[in-house]
Formats: sequence, structure tokens, C-alpha cells
Amino acid sequence: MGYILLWVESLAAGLLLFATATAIFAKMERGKLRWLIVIGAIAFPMLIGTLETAFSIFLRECLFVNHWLTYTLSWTLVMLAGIGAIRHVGLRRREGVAPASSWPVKNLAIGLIAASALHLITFWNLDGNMRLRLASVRMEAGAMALAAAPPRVPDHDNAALVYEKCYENDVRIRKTFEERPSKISRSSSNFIGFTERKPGDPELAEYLQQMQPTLVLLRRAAAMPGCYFEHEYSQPSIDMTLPELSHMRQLGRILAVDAKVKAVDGKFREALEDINAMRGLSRHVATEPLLISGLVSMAIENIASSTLEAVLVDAKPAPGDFAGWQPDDSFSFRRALRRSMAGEEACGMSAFAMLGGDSESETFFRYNGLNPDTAAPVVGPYWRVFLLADDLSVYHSQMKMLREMADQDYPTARTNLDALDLRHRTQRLGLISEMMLPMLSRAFNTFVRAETSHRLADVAVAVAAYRAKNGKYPARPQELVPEFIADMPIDPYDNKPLRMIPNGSGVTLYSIGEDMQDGGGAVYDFEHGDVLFNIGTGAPAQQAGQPPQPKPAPADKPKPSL
Amino acid sequence: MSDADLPPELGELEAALKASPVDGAAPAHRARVLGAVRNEIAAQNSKRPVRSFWRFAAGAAAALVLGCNLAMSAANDTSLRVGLRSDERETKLALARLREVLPELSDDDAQCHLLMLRARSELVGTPAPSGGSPFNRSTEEN
Repeated sequence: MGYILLWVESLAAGLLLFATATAIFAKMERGKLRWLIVIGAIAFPMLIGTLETAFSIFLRECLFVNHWLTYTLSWTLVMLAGIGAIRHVGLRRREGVAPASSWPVKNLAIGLIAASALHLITFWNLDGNMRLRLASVRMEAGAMALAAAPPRVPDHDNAALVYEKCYENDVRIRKTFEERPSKISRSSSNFIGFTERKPGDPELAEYLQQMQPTLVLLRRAAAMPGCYFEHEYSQPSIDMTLPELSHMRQLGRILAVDAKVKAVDGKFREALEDINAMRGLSRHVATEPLLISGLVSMAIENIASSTLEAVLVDAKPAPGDFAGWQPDDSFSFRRALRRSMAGEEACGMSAFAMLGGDSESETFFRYNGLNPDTAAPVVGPYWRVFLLADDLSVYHSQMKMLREMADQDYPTARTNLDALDLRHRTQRLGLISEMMLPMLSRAFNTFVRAETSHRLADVAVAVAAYRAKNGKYPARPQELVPEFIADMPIDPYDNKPLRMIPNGSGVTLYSIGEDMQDGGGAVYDFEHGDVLFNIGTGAPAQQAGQPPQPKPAPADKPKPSL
Repeated sequence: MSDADLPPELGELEAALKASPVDGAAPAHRARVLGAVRNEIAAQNSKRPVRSFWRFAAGAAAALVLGCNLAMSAANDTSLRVGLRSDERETKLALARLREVLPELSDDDAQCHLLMLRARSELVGTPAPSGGSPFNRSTEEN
């Protein structure tokens, strides 16, 4: 109803403007001014109408918002017809006199002012209404965030308390190194110094020696069932979760370094415990329903996988070394993704409410290449009144699609993701949705890849255990089941068991990867080619196997061993 | 009514008629004209206050309607300063921390994540969770 009122009022204002100009034109006997007045009176509303129609065509083409074209086009056409009618009635001379010369200019001018004022007030009220709507969206976002918040964990089961203690120990020990005039001190603030050092480095050995009690604690924490960092969820701050994520990632790095050193020292069992602890860390980080937490969780998982691969290159484990390895079947990155999406949707809705307000729209305008000082007073209300509802609707539908994708198998989800990606590239999704959704769809692929790495690592440990017992690598994956692994994990990309091929002196485990084509263990880049895990080949992950080359045609595909 | 009571134009008309060479009008005619003029003046005097009252009332009503709308719009648009505006320094600090936590993020993604974190800090205050949601509970059970 508000939009109809806007349509009528703006049309009335435009026609009254032209009628007033026509009356003035008819009263003035001669002069260029009268022509300027009437041309201006025609040009002004028609310019507005043309611009609005052009903008609505843009909306239709780019946002697929169709209803505004009808709205603006009908306005422009009716305005044109009205101008023609006023001209015909007012300026068609009868007995040498134009009827418009007797029109009351003052009354017409007052009517014009009144119609314009009403139009602006209606627009203002609509804007106020949308602000109220944004406030309710903010409330809804708060409720969603509460629903997605992690469950509180009893203190005796809460790994977070132990992690905090471990991190404090790490800071204290590192501080003693920082006070020394050595290389490790200068670079230890971000821990790069430690991760870049080779096993056998005396300072690294000393550091790890001092960290051993903490590492024992860390392994115990990683095996605990729950993790709940105390947060002020009722008043979340901007960096509420960031400190702990930073600490957790650092603890993961320490475990990785320790695992590599332990493997070199022949303590394969302890190295494996470190890697297991890293996976526990990863699982705990993913508890927080936020995409950043999920990404950090995957980063720790990737460090664990690459560490395992490095450890398996040189180690010669005994069969008993694998006793401590406990694959965690209960954890799923897909579930973590679904949880992250729930939290992220709440944040996204809050972002709508935040960016819809005048005070916090700076980020939004800067992101879209607009000057916030000049754009905010104009674009802000215009966006709220005419575009916000569509933007919000697109965001809801896309988030629903992404949440559903988290539950779908990859081929189905990939089809939907491609459709979403195509829509993103060919149309604009909505001003704010445009900012958020590409990031979320990219995250989907990253989560699936982490799930794949997780499963490949489980099979890799089973293969290493097989070799430790039988002195050779298995010829077929089925030989691993059920003694070394309960069941062969499924490749998330095609729902078939993960592949295994002999590779030199070792074997390569692989998944077909995001491109969903079996390249026989070939890697091209992050998005193309297979996801590999090499065991006993002496090559690090993603570099062994076949060298980058054009993908074989489907008919020439090497037959996987399964 | 005497001649002095007549409006000036009628006085002039009266004088012109008197000066005209034509035969004078019938005595009854003069009385009829003067009576009609008197009635007209009386009618005008009695209608003027009523018309001006309605004109004023209509203007006041229009002004009231406009004023009510204006007042509602202005009241709805008033910033009550109940929202917390995030501190620029806090935002920069959060971005630096985000970069430290996830150095592999692209600039665009980092900005988006920062936006989400800012949005999260703007969430309506909710009570601290004590039992967790059914969503998370089922996850834990799994």
C-alpha cells in the first residue's frame, strides 16, 4: 500500500508541477523565460521517471527483481499521458485565449508543495517501517545465535580449561627463550622460528623438553569429550573467539613440531599421539558455530595430515605403536559446516540490521566502492525502502540452500553449488548477499576437502599399521578391513571407497577431488586433480604421484585399485 | 435609506440617473432597486464569516494532517543511541588478530569475516546458554 501511495503522490506532484508551469506559461505574454519554465517542468519529472525506469531495468537484469520495472514504467507512461492531457486542455486556444491563463497559479503551487511534502513524508514513513523490520531481523538473529550456541560443558569434561593452562605454560616458557639473544627468541613471537627449525636443533629440543609436561596435558585435553570457552554470549564482542582460536592453532603447531621430532627420534607411538591430539584440537575448535572456527579447525586438521604424512615418510613403526591411535568416527566436518552455517546465518542477519543503520553502513559503502559520507544519506534510505526486502529474501533462500547442501552428498551439492556460483557470476545476488554468499560457498568446498583429508589420514595409519605387521604394503585396500580399519572410508566426492595405488616403494591414497574426475593420483592445483596422501614414497603431500599433466580422457582413466 | 447611505458607485449611478434627460423612473422602481441592493449587501455580510471559518478549518486540518505525519516520521527517525557503535581501534585489532589466526584468508574474505564478527557483536543481548540447543545436543550424541 505504501508503494502505491508513493506512486500516486509522486505522480500528482509531477502533474501539478507541469500544470503550474503551464498556467505561468499561458499568463506570460512573451519572453524566453516562459519556454524555460515549461521545458523545465516537463524535463524534471521525465528525467526522474527515465532514471528510475533505467535503474529498475538494471535491477531486473542484474538482480532479477521484476516488480520495480512495472512500477517505474507505468509511472513514466502515465506521467507522459498526463503531461499531454494538461497541454491539450490548457494551451489549446479558444477565441485567442489559452484556458490555462485563467488557472489559479497560487492554488496549483500550494497543491504542488502539499503533494511533494506528502510524498516525502510517505517515503520517510516507509523508511521508518523498514528500520522497524530491521530491528525485528536483529531480534531474530539473536534468537538464532542462541539456538546455535555451543552447549555448556561440566568443568571436569571441559578441555577448554586445560587448553588455557597449556597456552599459559607455552607463553611462560617462550618468554624465557625471548630473553635470550638467539635466533629462536627473535622469531618466537609468532612461533615461525620453531616450525622452521629442523629436528635436532638444540634450542628446539630444549624448548620441547620444557614443554613435555604441557604436551601431556594437551594430549589429555584433546581426548576430553567437550570444549566450552567461557564467553559473554549475552554481549558478544567483536573478537570474542579470536584469542582462543589463535591459541589453539599455536598449540596445534607445537604438537606438530613435537610429532616430527618424536618421529625422528624413533618415538613413533608418541608422534602418533601428538597427531591424534591435533585432531582432537581440531574437533574442539569446530564446536563454536562460526565459520572462522570451522576454518581454523580445518587448518589444524590439515597440519595434522601433513605432519602424519611427514612422520610416515621415514618412520619404521612397530606394530604396537598404533595402539594409541583412535580414529574419531563421531566427528564430521559436514556437521561442523552445518553448525557454522547456522551461526553464520545469524551473524549475516545481524549484518543486515547493522548495515541498514546509518551509523554502521560505512563498511558496506566502502566495500561497494562508494564514498560513505555522500552515499549513506541517499543510498541508505533508498536501499532500505526499495531493495532491502528483496536482499533479505535472497539471503534467506541462499542460506537455506547452503544449509541443505551441508546435508547432501557432494555430487548433488556440487550441482547446486555450481548453479549458485553461476547465478553469482551472472547476476548480482543483492547488495549485502553479494558480499557474504561467495565466501560461504567457498567455505563449503574447504570443509569437504578437510573431511577428505581426515579420512585419508585414517586409512594412511591403517596402511602403516599393516606394513608394520606384515612388512609390506597392502596390495588392495580390502586387506586392511577389518583388522586395521573397521571399514574403508568413503570418498566424499563420489561416495565410493577411497582409492589406493602403488607408488614406487610406497603407496598413494587418494580421493578424486573437487573436479570429480579420477585422475589416478594426479594433482594440478588446489581445485583440480586428486587429493593425495603418500606413504613411503619419500614425497610430501600433493607433490608425489603423477606429475601435473593434462587430464586423461575418461576412457583412458587408470583403473583404481578398488 | 437615504442617499448618503448608498455605496459610492450606487451614489454615482443615482446622480447620473438624476442628471439624465430621460424621464424619471417610476417611484416604485427606485424602491425596488434599492431594496434589492440592500438585500444583497445584507446577504454578503451574513455569509462572509461562515465562509472564512470553513476555509480556516480546512487549512488547519490540512496542516494538522501534514504535521501529524511529519511528527510520526521524525519520531521514528530519532536516534535513541541505544545501539553500541563498534570502536574503530577495536575493529583494526580484530582484523590483525584474524590475520594472525587465518593468514591464508584472502583480503575480501577477511573483510567479510570481520563484518560477520562485527555483526555478531551487534546481536541482541541473549541469555547465556546453560543447556545448549537441541541442535548441538544431537550433534554431541552423534
